Amino acid sequence: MNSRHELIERARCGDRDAFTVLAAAAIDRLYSIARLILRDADRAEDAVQETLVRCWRDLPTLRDPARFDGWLHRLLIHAVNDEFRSQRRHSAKVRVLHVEPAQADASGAIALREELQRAFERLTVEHRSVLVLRLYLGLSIEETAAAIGIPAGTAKSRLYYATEAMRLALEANARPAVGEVSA
Amino acid sequence: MSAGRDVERLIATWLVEESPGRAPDRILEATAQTIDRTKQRRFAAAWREPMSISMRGLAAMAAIVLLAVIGAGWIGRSTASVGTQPSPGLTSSQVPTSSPTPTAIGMTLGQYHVARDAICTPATAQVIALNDQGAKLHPLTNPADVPPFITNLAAIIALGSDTLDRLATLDPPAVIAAEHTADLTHHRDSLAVLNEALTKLRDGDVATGLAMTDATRPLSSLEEAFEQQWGLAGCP
Repeated sequence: MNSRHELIERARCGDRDAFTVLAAAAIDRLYSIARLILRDADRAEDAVQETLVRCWRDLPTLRDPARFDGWLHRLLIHAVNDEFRSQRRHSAKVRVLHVEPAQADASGAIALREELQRAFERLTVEHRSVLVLRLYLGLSIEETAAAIGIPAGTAKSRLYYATEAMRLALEANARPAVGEVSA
Repeated sequence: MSAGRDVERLIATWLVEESPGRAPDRILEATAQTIDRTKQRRFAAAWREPMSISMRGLAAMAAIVLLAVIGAGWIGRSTASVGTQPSPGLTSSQVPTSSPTPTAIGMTLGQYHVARDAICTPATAQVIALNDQGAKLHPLTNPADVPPFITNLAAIIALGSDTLDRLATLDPPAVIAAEHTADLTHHRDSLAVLNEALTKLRDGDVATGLAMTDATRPLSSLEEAFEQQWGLAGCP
């Protein structure tokens, strides 16, 4: 039995020190995922804390310690979804103004980042989650599906539609704006 | 390379650039403080990979849990009125409840606390051992694991039933009587759902049986809320 496996077993039996070691090892990864999906530092912190508390509480129910990471990702995605829904309730009245795309000059890289950001923020939380788990964390489609709690086929189609939505948004932003009015 | 792959690569690069890298230390500190006050869940269905369940199966599970929760609420309310309306001349410690009364004089809250924990603590240790045995089994993917999983679940149900019988002999004080009775109902309903799960497993419907063990979670949450509110030991 390796040391990580031992830590998980000890934490399952209520060892808080073992749990703290596990949490410390995972927290940067969890925070990055939450921050990327939610696009909000405070809400990402809340989601990660909620994830770790749920992890501690439900750890004895984890059937196979070898699946700890997948299980933790799933808890995180649940917490992120909860935060996202709460965020939407609070920000439903905030309207996203269309911003003129920056000129393709020396600031082209910055403009591209802004376009990517705008396109990403238009995605649903489900599509953002697939993109982050698959393209940032590098999980396989099967691992991504398990983390979200959906069949692999659904994860695959969400990845396709999310990527397409990003591509179309980038293309649209790249075209010159004609007669745009923001009310 | 396709346009889709190019966009994927572009997004992947952007996500890495946007990643904060390091989490603030305060998250871990706040988490440590919270888990100091948080009990671990000891009697709940174990996590497993997502599975496919028919809509009919889901509807049946939802109906069972809904009935159980509604029934628990109804019984809790009806017994609350019995437990909180003392007869003239009786002290609060002598208020009758719907629970069997082994003694003529009811327990104090402290006595109830000690007696309940004496029942629950060893039972919880046994359930943890059974859960650990069950954790080694994968009935959904390995048919050979189904019979031992059934045996394991049957042992958990038997332990839960025995614990329930013993809890029912307690004579709680009026201040907690209604909630104690409601808690017994939650335990009874959980066992009913687990028995249904056992039947499904024995009938060979492993996916539905396993999903039904998950369906006890809302009832477990109610039990835990009661235990946490009164500082009681977790009870299977």
